[in-house]
Amino acid sequence: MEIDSVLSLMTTEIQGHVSSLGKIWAAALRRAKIRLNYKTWMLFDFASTIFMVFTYFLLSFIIMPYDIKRAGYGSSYFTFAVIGIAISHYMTASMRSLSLTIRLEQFYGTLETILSTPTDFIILFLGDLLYFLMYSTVFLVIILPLGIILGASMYINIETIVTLTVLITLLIASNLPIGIISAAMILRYKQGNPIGWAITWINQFFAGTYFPITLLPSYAKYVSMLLPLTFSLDAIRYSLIWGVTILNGRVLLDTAIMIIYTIIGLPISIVIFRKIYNNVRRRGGLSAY
Amino acid sequence: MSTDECVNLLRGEEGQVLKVSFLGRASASWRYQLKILFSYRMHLALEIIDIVLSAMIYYFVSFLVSPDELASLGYSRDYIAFSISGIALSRYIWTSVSRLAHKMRHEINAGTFESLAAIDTDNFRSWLVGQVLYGFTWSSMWFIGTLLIGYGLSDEFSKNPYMLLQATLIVILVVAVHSAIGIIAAGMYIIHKQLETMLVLLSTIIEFFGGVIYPLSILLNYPVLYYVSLMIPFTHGLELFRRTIIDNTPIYEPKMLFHLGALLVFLPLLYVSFKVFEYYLNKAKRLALLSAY
Repeated sequence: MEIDSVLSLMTTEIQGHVSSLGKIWAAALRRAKIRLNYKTWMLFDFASTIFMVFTYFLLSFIIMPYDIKRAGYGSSYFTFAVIGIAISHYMTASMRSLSLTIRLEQFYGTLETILSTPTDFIILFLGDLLYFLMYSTVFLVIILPLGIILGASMYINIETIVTLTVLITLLIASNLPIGIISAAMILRYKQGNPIGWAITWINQFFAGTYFPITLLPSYAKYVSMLLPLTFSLDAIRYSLIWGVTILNGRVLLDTAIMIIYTIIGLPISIVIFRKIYNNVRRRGGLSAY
Repeated sequence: MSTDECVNLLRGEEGQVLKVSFLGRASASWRYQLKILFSYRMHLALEIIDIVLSAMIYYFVSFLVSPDELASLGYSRDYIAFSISGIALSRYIWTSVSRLAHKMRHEINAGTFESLAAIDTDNFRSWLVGQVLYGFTWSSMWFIGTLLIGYGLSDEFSKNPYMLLQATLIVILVVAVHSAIGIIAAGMYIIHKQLETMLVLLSTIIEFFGGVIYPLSILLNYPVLYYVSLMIPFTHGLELFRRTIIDNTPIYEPKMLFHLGALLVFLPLLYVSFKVFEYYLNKAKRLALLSAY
């Protein structure tokens, strides 16, 4: 019997109707409920990030401000670092949440069941992503005030908060294609962690999470320019350090670049994912890990 | 039927199937894990990128660090040597400590742990030793790789064979002390399951209090934190390692002897750790929790 005949035999009409937004919310809630079961895990996760803030606070005692100033980020290395740490969870959410979810479901053998439901995988992914965004926002809300208490100099007002919200949305959207392609690779090659680590390290290194990219040699800067995270970090830091909004020239340019990355990257990555996903599904490889 | 009757019924005679020596079986357990590692070439390549980039981050951070500040706090003026020695040792400890718990999680999740633990004790121990050896082999590759990058980037690292020998002995001692934490964590993992994040937290605490990327003397501004840091074995291990491999300070100097003594105080923990592991394993066997996750 042909694959298509088997599929048509098993295809049924979708019963009942739940809106896409409702499904996304339900998927986010599902992930949140699973995670909330592991309270100790969450506590340790928060504690690790807080210790990281203190580590960079102590490191800043021996840092000279010249290069930070030259890169346009004021004169405090701690402020520079704490903003990077505060938004690092958004970076992870956009680049690794999908692949982490796929790898986990793949490993537990539940991926086939989940992806075989009438609900589109994009809906499920968006739900997971929504959960990770909420989780990352809790981090942001804790880390930024902690940084300010320890002496980081930032402008937090209505205007910068609105700008920050827009920039974070763009950070997620522009980096999401990398996450989607990485998830597709996991679906295809069944190799979880190394791809995720490599993406994290490459981004942390070339996008200037811990040091300004002006320190990189000129050839390495080309790699930085290829990563949307470079522009996301620059815009967020510049806005919070100088108290400027999205209308500022430098922030506006970064925003435009992030929009371009999103417009080009998202459709391409979704096409790649769908192609790999359909291929794996047809070959019956969803349950293999 | 009671648990004991059940266990008696299933028990085979000891030594029935043991044809290979303990060391032979431990080495087999070590080799099969290495074979798995080397069969994932892409994984290996990405790990190498990980090692290089994590070291390079601190190379660029070193441009921001004031050498005078570093020297005034009692260290060499080169931040690359300072940070890379710290990162290499902390990652070495971290991977050694977490390896066994990680392996436990993998076997428990895959549902194979019960079969492993149900075989006779000697076989299980040899498997465990093999896994620990593999953990050290893997983390040693990470450690040596990071140090080699450090040697490539900085001239401050010692090339004196006598100092390198001392540094090796210090590393072995530090790893032995910290393995105890790993074995305890692995034992606890059998029952309490969600412990990997605790190990991540532990590594962050170690990095914070151990002064991995900043000079410990800064903590003197916060005396409570400074004294807490002195209670952590890693602080002493890293101080010994850095002084040997960067400053060429021999181990018999009074300051070094203080740190060495402090480190040795924690050594009996290794014996305790095996007892704790055995306690949790037996408890899990009795409660039939080996296959639960």
